[in-house]
Order: sequence, then C-alpha cells, then structure tokens
Amino acid sequence: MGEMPLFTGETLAEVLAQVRAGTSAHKAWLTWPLEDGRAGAMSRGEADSRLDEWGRQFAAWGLRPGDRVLVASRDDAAVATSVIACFTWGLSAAVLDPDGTAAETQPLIGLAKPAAWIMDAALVAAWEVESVQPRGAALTGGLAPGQGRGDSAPSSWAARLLRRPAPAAPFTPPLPASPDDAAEAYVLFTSGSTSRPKGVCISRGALLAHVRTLVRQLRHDADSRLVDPLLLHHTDGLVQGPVLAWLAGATCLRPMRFEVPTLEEFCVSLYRDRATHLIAVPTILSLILEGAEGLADTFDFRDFRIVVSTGGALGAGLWKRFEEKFRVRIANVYGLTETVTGGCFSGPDDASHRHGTVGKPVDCEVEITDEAGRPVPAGVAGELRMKGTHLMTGYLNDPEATAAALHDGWLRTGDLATRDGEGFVRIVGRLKSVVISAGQNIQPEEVDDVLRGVPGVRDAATFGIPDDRFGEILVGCVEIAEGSGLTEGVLVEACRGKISSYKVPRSLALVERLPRGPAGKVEIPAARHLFEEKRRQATLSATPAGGADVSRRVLELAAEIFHVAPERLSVASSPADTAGWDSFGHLSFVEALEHAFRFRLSTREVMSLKTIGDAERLVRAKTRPEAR
Amino acid sequence: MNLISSGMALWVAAFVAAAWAAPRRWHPPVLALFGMAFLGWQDWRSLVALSGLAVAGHLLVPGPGVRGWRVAILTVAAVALLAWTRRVGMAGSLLTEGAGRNLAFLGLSYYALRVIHVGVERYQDRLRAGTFAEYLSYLAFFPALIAGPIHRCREFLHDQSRRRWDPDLCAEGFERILYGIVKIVCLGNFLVSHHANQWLNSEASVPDCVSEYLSLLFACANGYFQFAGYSDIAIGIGNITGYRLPENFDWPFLATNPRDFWQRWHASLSQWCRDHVFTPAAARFRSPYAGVVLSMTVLALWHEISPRYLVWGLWQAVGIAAWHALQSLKPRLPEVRTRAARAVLATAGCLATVNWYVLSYAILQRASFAEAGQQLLTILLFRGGSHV
Repeated sequence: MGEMPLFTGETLAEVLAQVRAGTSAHKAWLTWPLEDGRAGAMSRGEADSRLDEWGRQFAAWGLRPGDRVLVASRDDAAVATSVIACFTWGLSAAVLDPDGTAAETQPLIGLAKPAAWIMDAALVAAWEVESVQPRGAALTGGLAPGQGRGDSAPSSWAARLLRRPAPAAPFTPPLPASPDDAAEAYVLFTSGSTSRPKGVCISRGALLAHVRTLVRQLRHDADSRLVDPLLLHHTDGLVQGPVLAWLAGATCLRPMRFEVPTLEEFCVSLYRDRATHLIAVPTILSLILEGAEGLADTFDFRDFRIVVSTGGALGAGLWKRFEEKFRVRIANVYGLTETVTGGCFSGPDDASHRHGTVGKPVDCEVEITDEAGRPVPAGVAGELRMKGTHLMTGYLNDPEATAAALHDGWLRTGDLATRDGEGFVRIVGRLKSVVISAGQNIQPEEVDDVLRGVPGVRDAATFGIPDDRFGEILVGCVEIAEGSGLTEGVLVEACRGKISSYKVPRSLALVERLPRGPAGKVEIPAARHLFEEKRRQATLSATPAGGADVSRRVLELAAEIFHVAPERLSVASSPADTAGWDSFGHLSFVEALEHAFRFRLSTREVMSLKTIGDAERLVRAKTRPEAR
Repeated sequence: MNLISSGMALWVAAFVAAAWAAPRRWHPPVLALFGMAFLGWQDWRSLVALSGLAVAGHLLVPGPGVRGWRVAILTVAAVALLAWTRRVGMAGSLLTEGAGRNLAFLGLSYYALRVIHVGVERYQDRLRAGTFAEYLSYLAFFPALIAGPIHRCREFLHDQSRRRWDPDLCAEGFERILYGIVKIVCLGNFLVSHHANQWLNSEASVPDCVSEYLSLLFACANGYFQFAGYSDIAIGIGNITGYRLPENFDWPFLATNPRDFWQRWHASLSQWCRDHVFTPAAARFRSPYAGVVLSMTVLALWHEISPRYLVWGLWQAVGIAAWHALQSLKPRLPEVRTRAARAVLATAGCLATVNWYVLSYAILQRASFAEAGQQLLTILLFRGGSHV
C-alpha cells in the first residue's frame, strides 16, 4: 500500500481529489442507523455519486466557493454526505443540532447567514428557515429529494456482491476547485461564555492539519474501521467519524444509537464488524464498564487497536479499571471544538500514556499561564493555552469573543492545568462556567435565563457537580417567591421544550434566598454548598442509607472482605475479576452486608448477587422504608 | 461410543458446514436440529428423552420472573431422570458409556445440568426469554453434547449474536483439536494406559507402596488426559464454528490448594456446583462448610450414585474444608516474607493437593472400602515387598 493521500496532498482539495481517485468505489465508507432499527451502508462509489448530485444542486442554486450551507438532519448519512460535499465543492458547512428547539436554533441560523440549507423537512417547518433563506433542500426521510433512501446493510456476501454499485460516471465540477486552505471548512456551534452560543469557524487548512495529527497519533490507516457513535453536530462525532474516515480512506461505523438497553448489542457489533477504534466520551466508557458482565471479550480480538476517549475529562479510576477489565489501551484526547477536536494526547504510545493526565501536546504547543499571561513554573496551576495550525480562525461574526479567545496565535482554553517536569499536562479545573455532561457542553447562564422566565421564580443559579457516570451533571438552586406553589418537577417541566433535553437540570433545590456577594451577584461556591446541604437533608429524610453513601459503604465492605484496594473495584466487579471473591468470600461479603445494613438476604437474593452493582441494588431495595 | 473415529469426523465436518452455511437468523434452529439429528442417529431413545426434557424446560420456565415451584419441578424432573439412569447403571454420556446399552441417554449428564442452569438463571431474572430454537441450540450444542463442558447459556447466546468468521479463532480451534487428540491417543491411551501400566505390571522389583501409588497416579493421569482431551476437542470444534466454550482443565496438577484444584479440574462442573449447590446451601445454612459438603456430594454423585462415590465426594469436601480452616489460622501464623519460602510453601501445597486427589482414586479403583483402605495403608506406611 502506498502512502495515504492524506500525507501527500498539499491542500484539502488535493487530498479530496486523491482520495476519490485512489480509493476503491466498492469500499465501505459509512454505516448508520435507519429508523426501522437496521443499519444503512454506503460505499465510496455510492457516496461519490451523491457528492456529484450535491455538486449539481449547489451549481443550480448558484453557490460560490466560500458560501455557507446549513446542514441539519437526524439521518447520519445525509449529514455526512452533505458535509463532505461542501468540502469537495469548496463550500462551508454549518452543522446544527437536529434536536435543538426553535428558540435555540433560530438565532444560530441568523448568525450563520446561510447561502442555502439541507435539512429534514420537519426542521424546515419547525425552525421557519425559509423566512431567512428560501434556497435549500428539504429531506423527506432519505438523503435528499430524488437521491433515494439509504440501503439496508446486505446480510450476506452474496447479497453484497449483487449490490455492488456501478462505477461513478466522470463528473466535471460545477464550482471552481482548489479553494484556498485558509477558507472556512465548517462551523460548529458551542456554548459561549454567556447564554449566547458561538459558532466556531474551522478553516480547511486547520481541518486537514488536525486530521493528519489524529491519523498519525491514533494509528489510523486505510484499514481502519472506526466506530464513532457520537453526535454529528459535535466535532468528535463529525471530524473523528465520517470526515476522518473519508480523508483516510477508512470506514466509519455507526451501527446504532448508543443507548443503555442496546449496550450489549453495541458491544457485540464491535467484534462482528471488526472495529479497529472506538471513539467515545467517558460516559459511554463508564456505561460499558458498568454493563460489562459477560462483555469482557468486547475488545479481545486482533483487529481492535485503541479506545479513544474524548469530549470530557476521563477520570483516572475509570481509565484504569476499563483498561484492566478489557485489556485494551485508551488514548485520552484533550481538545476543544476550537482546536478541531484535540491537541494533547495521553496515549496510545507508552511515552505519552499516563492515567489522570491529558498527556502531551502533539503537533502544537501548549503553555500554562497566570492571569497576566505569564508562564507559570512546573506544577503550578494556570490557564492552559494552545498554539498550532489546527486552531479555529475565530468565532462566527463575533470579533469581540474571538479577540478574547485568540491572542498572538495562542488560544485561551479556559481550562486550569498543571504541567509536571516530564511535560505531562493535567487538567485541574475550569475558568469558564461551562458544564460538560456526557460530552455535551451546557452553558448554565442559558438555563438560568429559562428558569428566571418561569412565573414565581425570583432568581436561579445552575452549576455543574461531579458525577461518576456523566463526568458532570447540571444542578442548581432556584429562589422562588413565597406562595408560588412551584416544585422541582414544575420547574424541570418548564425547562423542557425551551431548551434541549440534555440541558435540563438533573436536580434543583428550592431556596428562599440565593447567597449573594456585596454587589448582589450570586456566589456560585456558596450556592453549590447550599445545594449539597439541601440534597443531604433530602437524602437523609428519604432513605436510611442514602445513594452515594450506599455505594461507598458497599465498595468499602467488598474491599475489606476481598482484600483489594477500593479504587480497583467498580459496580461491574464480579468474582471473575476480583481476587479474593471466591465461594467462601461470597458468603463473607453477604454476611458483612447484612451486618452493616441490618437486614437479611434470602437464598434467592444471595444467589442473584453476582457483582458489586447487584449488592448496591439489593442494599437499596432492602433499606427502603417500605421494605422494613 | 468412540469419539475419535472417522464416523465422528464426518459428523464434525457436517456440523461445521451447517453452522456456517445457515444464515444468521436460521442459525439457532439449524444448531438445534443438528444436535437432535445426531442424538436420533445414535439412539432414538436419547432423542425422545432429551427433547422431552427440553420441551418441559421451555414450557415450565419460559422466561425471567417465573415462580420458584416451576423451577423446582423442572429440577426434580431433570435430577430424577439423571438419577434413575445412574441408579440402574445405564447413564449415558460419560465417555466410557453411551449408546448400545439399554436406555442409555446419550449426553444426559451434561444436558440435565444445562436444563437446571437455565431454569435457575431465569428464576433469578438473569437470563432473557428466548425462542425455543435458541434454547434447544444451547442444550444440544453438538460440540459439547457428548462430553461437555457444561457451558453457560448467557455466554452461549452472547457468542451466537457475536460470531463471525474469525481466522484466528478457527486456527486456534484446529490447534485445540490436535492437542485433544494427542492427549487422548498418544498420552492417555498409548503412554499411560498401555506402556506405563505394562511396565508397572512387568516390573517386579518395585516396592508395593510405590507400585500401588503409581497405579493410582496412572489412573488419575489417564482420566485427566481423556477428559481434558475431549474438552479440547469440544472447545476446538466450538472455536471453528465461532463459539468459545469455557476451559474445563487448566493445568490442575499445578494447583496449590484443593479450592484451586477444583477451579482447574473439570472446572465447568465444579463451577456449576458452586453456583447451583454451594451458594444456595451456604446461604440457606449460613455455613460455607455445609455448602462444600453438599456441593462435593452432588459433584460426586453426578458421576455415579454409589457409596464409593459418596465417600469420594466427602473426601474432596474434607480437603477443601481443611484448607479453608487453615486459612482462618493464617493471621495468627508468622508472615512468609522471602520469595524462597513462598516457593517452598507453594511447592508443598501443590504436592499435598495433587496427592490428596490421587489417593482418593483408591476409593474408586478398588472393589471395596476394605481394599481401598489396604491400598492407602500400603502407600502411606511405605510398606515394602515386591509384587508380581
């Protein structure tokens, strides 16, 4: 195999042309979930045909290089082909969340000033996009009008053979080719420092430079079969998924939406589809680890190379337990939408792999500075700044925010970090208020605004708190007027419909007065403390053995009985992977639980206890007031 | 029946072809039908008995959340069928037995335990409801039908949904089959059964104690090579068709204590006894020792319902219980610090464990307890003299 076009082409246009010329039309590019639960499959030949169709459509619309096209669809193939078509024909793609509400999305459409749009028909109506830009293609359940639906994956080799696509007819680009690599490639929207979201503009050169870094660092090649279930309006879903696969001549597998009920099916698909990489946020890794009973062989096959953790902080405990349980290497990628996707990499190579860190910068520079912008000594916390060819060109139509974030070629990440003597970077906090929950950014100010709009609410302050599964969850305190009759349920319900479901607070404490400083501004640390206190009181009154307390105590007991360190145990720990959990130890563990929580387990319950998670569930069930 | 034969090789080839030719959704019924066809070909009565048990299992325990009495009826039915065939001396399926005898139910020994396993797992809500074809494909999985191992349903169904053509796994499968044949034919049949025993019988100068000990050791070694060999073949055929059957013998003679030994020797059976006998018994009586005695008794009587096997099971239970009692004394004993001391202790533990098991063969080998006692005394008292 010769060198990949990705490393020989000078510009994105050259690479795209070389990929098209040098990759077999029969090779699979993308699989994606269809509405009926099956998976669609698209070869490169089929994709080429669709890119050409889009090219003709763009020409018919009279688009010029650099024009921006809005893309929003629940059909992964439609999003992926539209974005690659924009790259191919020199346009910029602005990708929107198809689950965004009209109130959230309409300002973004106004900000983007699109020259055309490609959207699900339902979204066109809901977002009233035609009032802003009449030019566009409304998708009615397929890839585009007249372009046919996604084919379901053929079930056998014979069927695949029969469905081989016809070679694509030569196509003359309707648009001028080889646009400047300084031109905009795409725009993704991210939470801003206020309730106003920002569009991150990535140039074609930055995209190409960073995809090259990803390919080299994460050991991708044309044989990669990467599984990336992340959302396509997020950079980790889009760039590390279909875009990287297209440019590297690889295959991107999105067999199904990642959901807890289909966790086992998802894990099974990794082996069955011969995956080489899994791109996931830490929440997904945590769920796989929790549901790992009987899934220990998920990554145990020769094709598989690396699990890539991205889109949030990967806790050292989860990281170690996952690697030990599945005997697989995790590469932890640190970056922002503003850095395409990465910048610092911890692994997969031994030299940069260190638990609890984001490793070292690759193809870029980082520095850690104090408030005045001066570099701080090793081990001292400061703001992490990054410099490289992969940085954004700026925020869309927001020179003020761009100037605040980019200075002399350095990007202020807003994250607090330290760097040790060996150069390993560790993220220790955040200067920004943004909450990252299950890989999704939530700006608390946006949620506060919605809560303040509820009649009877005087003020609100939401913030993130650590969570084992989601990394962080959004919670808050709400100051309500006396006699308003508001409850937590009413407030949560009021948020639904106004903001996307992932932004709805997980828990709200109703308070008489929010803690404020001398200037009248809400003090978040004090509000956080108030929330914790309210939650502790609620937990104590609800159950004799509260949630986090049960988990901790059960883990402590297991550690004591089985003579292992508590940090080596998780809810998924079982006799198969816990030294000391033998038949006799099992009974000792049962007796210790009975003694500590003052109940007695039946024979059936003892037999059903197969993991630490089972023990927690049993304790919770047995200590509920009605069980006593 | 002879499992190393050209006839069996043809059945294996047909099974592999059928397993790969069937489209994914037809895979479970094809496996189930193949297992049943094999049974019917060998012995129609086995087909009737085992399919009857499968139908009863599927009707009584169709899915999770069933009432306990349904599982109890199923368990009693499976155990009664197994006990009846054992008691009248015609149990099928252990390697030395099989078709050709009256009412020898081929494969029942492993099959019955699988039926009980599925019932208990569903009772505990740990196994989803499946189709009858899936259920029967598990119970009558051809590679494990005759000689085990007693694989688990959840793992089997996981493999069923996961399987694909995997050259590495297939190569591993052929390797395991080769190992199995070497263990059975070269090491078991030729080296131990034929040459070693012939030498022992012809060597007059060997003292009685050594001769008696070696006869037990050879019997034990032959048992290992036979059962481990057949397990290797079953695992290998499973691998070739995309399934991973559990390991049954994992270097048991390197075990450093009796508990470790039973995790390595016929592990699928001892794990079945752990989950389905030890745990409920220990939970019911709140005594691990009660669990050990009951589970080793069941394990022994599974081989044969007879006083000698009952005593043999109790012998094993005493070994495990003694080791655990010793563990409780450990905190009061001086800590072993050096690597050399730990190595000496591990070696001593290994020798004691293996010999505890080897000596228990006297109970199985001799016609009466008195003869077995005489043999053990000869060995343990180092009685001299030569045999002829």
